[in-house]
Amino acid sequence: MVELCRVDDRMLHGQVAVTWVNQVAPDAILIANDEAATNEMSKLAFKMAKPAGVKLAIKTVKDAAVLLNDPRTKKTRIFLIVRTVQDALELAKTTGSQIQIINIGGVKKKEGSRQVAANVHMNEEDIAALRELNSLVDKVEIQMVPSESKTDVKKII
Amino acid sequence: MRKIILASHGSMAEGVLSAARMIMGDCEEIQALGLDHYESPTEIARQIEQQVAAEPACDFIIFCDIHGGSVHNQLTELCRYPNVYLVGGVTLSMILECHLNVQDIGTMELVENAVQSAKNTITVLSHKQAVEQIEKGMEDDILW
Repeated sequence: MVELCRVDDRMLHGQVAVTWVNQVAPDAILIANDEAATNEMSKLAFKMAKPAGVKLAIKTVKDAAVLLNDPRTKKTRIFLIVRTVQDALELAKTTGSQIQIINIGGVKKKEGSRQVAANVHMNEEDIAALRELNSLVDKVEIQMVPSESKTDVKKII
Repeated sequence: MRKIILASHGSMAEGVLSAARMIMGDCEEIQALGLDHYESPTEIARQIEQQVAAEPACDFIIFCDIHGGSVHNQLTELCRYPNVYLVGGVTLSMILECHLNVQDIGTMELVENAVQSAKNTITVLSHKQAVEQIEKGMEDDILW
């Protein structure tokens, strides 16, 4: 089962490796990102940053969907990390109803984006994807670290 | 009950706390006392001693910037209190581990675990080693 899907443009970094992994207590972390999965140096960095005692797979979004649709995932607590709302949406659509809780952490500023919460910037396409995602899953929450307050996604969409 | 105190030359204590906050969010019970803000190591020791003496039921884990530095030396005297645990040579990972601990273990065990795992995460990676590791092939991407 996917215990939590995190949207974070830095993917597996200090906040995630320390606080969220502590909170979610996953058996495995799955990073679904096309660039990371095809860049050996960035894979090495994530492997080195991996918390002890947790398995880690770094896959393209497509291959991540294949992994998530494997029946063995039912018995595994998976912490899924993606870089964009769009990738989260694609995986939510292609993996049955496995992804139910989305946590949005950092999303960087870009052309046409506005700040919707601390460290979260979205443009119109992001908001449209967020709206669709919100209708597919149980919960979408914006929260950098577990000890901070959550922003209700309904205020944004 | 436990409290974490950082003490250092310059502003390293405040800096480590700032980094810890960025990673963990609010850490209200962690204090930072650096020599940029306090006149002398004695002044820092006095600040800490007041708390340590006032709360004997609370364990104080005090992290100093460097073993054998003037702050560390001065704070060594506080070990006459049974509720003081003094660490020399702080790293950020020690603070994270102590702060996020949820295990029901004693303070000494907690501190020793944090120091040991911090030692294991001090790493060096050169270009040559990175390339070697990639060529050797990394652990398979597995979930099960």
